Amino acid sequence: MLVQQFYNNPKFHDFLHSNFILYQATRGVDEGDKVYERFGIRATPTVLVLGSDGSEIDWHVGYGPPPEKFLERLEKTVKGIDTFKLLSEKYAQGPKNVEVIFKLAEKYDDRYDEEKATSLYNEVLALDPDGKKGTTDYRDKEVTYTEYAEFSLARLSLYSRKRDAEPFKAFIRKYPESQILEEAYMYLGSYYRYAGSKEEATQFFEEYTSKYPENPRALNYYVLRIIRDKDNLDRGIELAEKIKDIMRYNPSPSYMKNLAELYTLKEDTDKAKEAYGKDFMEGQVSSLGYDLRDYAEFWVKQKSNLESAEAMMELAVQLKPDSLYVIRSIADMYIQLEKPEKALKIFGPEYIKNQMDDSNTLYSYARFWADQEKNLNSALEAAKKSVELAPAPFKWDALSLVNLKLKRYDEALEAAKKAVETAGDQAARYEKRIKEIEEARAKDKKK
Amino acid sequence: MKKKLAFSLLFIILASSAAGQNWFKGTVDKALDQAKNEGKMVLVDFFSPG
Repeated sequence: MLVQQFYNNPKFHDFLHSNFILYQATRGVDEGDKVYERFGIRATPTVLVLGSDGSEIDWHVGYGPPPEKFLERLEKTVKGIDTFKLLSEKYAQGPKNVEVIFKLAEKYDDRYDEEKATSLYNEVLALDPDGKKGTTDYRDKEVTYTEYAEFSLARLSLYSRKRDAEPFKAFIRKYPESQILEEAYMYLGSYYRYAGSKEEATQFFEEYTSKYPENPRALNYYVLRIIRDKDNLDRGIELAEKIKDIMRYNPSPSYMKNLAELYTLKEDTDKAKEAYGKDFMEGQVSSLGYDLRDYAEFWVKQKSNLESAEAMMELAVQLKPDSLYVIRSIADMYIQLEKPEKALKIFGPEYIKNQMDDSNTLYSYARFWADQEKNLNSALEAAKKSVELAPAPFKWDALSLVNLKLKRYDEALEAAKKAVETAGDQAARYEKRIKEIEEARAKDKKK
Repeated sequence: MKKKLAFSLLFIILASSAAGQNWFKGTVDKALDQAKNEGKMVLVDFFSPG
């Protein structure tokens, strides 16, 4: 994603080329692996900025869109703001500056240097035990350096070789009103879903889920533990059904899989299929088809990101070949992209020959191509069939319009009059077509 | 149909990564030499395919 959205985006090329020589170290390639080892890199994506003397100026681990945010991070590096190099120099000059120590700890933490991060976080606690010397921003929440240092130490401890959950339990007891309390519970939830004794895990999860009863992740961690222990299945089903209810408008396949697994453990295959069977997955595929269509429509309208939009249009057609709504709207997008041959391929004669017993589809097809003034012979055949199967004023009007585009004025007039005749109190809507035909015929005669 | 769909998705991902940036060709030490000559820094992108 970083490569596609940032490095390959011409918008950022000037900035990159004027400040850096760009070097890519690829994992699994001989030279790349040597560079990984030389700098002790443990996660990707990592971006390391080196001075020309080989010294480490700064680094950034991880990436999330938009790419403009990543640019901001690199701009700060170029300007020397809160870089590793600057923080190290400040630390050497003032080893009791809590803010500097905290930021340096975060730098090492980002790079998975647990030993240095732990040491520096502990220095923060020693210098500021009451949390009075400043705050940091954690996902838009303001937290003291001290509290966040304790939280980070608990996380490092949880993911260390020892896998020690006690620091997080201590954090929860010490900071019951913490802005990041839910995050602390979440980390412990991720631990107890697979570790700790069954009794300890059950006690923790009952506390966690009673505190956050509407949080699907909390409930799901407990479900995973129950599946692992293959015990207390009724409680598991209760929780999994609650998740299903919370997420009823957008059910997650992985959560539904867990529900099916519980029912399977209870030897209730019917319920498992109801939760996670053919109907469920076909619904997911169908939703994806509509989402792809919506995505493409958005970007075609913006006249931007068109390569991706077209790719998603192709996928949507593959997923929803029987949806008139999807096929017609994608054909319309191809017309907007000035690719009528592609519109014809998906919504042309080959398509309509399989729909000759569906009056509404035939109408929609005829009307679409009449508006485009293309593929008119096929549109005429469809319009005639549409009216033959199930006549209605709007279908007569479509037939009239196709004939008009083909300059078959007598036939157009005949159909337009049928539309008016059969429209009842809506007749006025269709009368203007008659006038349109007469004007077109008159104009043609003058030529 | 599933194979065709999977192939389409794979093509989109690969096609998207193929374009774009000119990375320095050579060792990182040679990149540092060039950086010194041009008064720039070296940006090392650690990349893992797949």
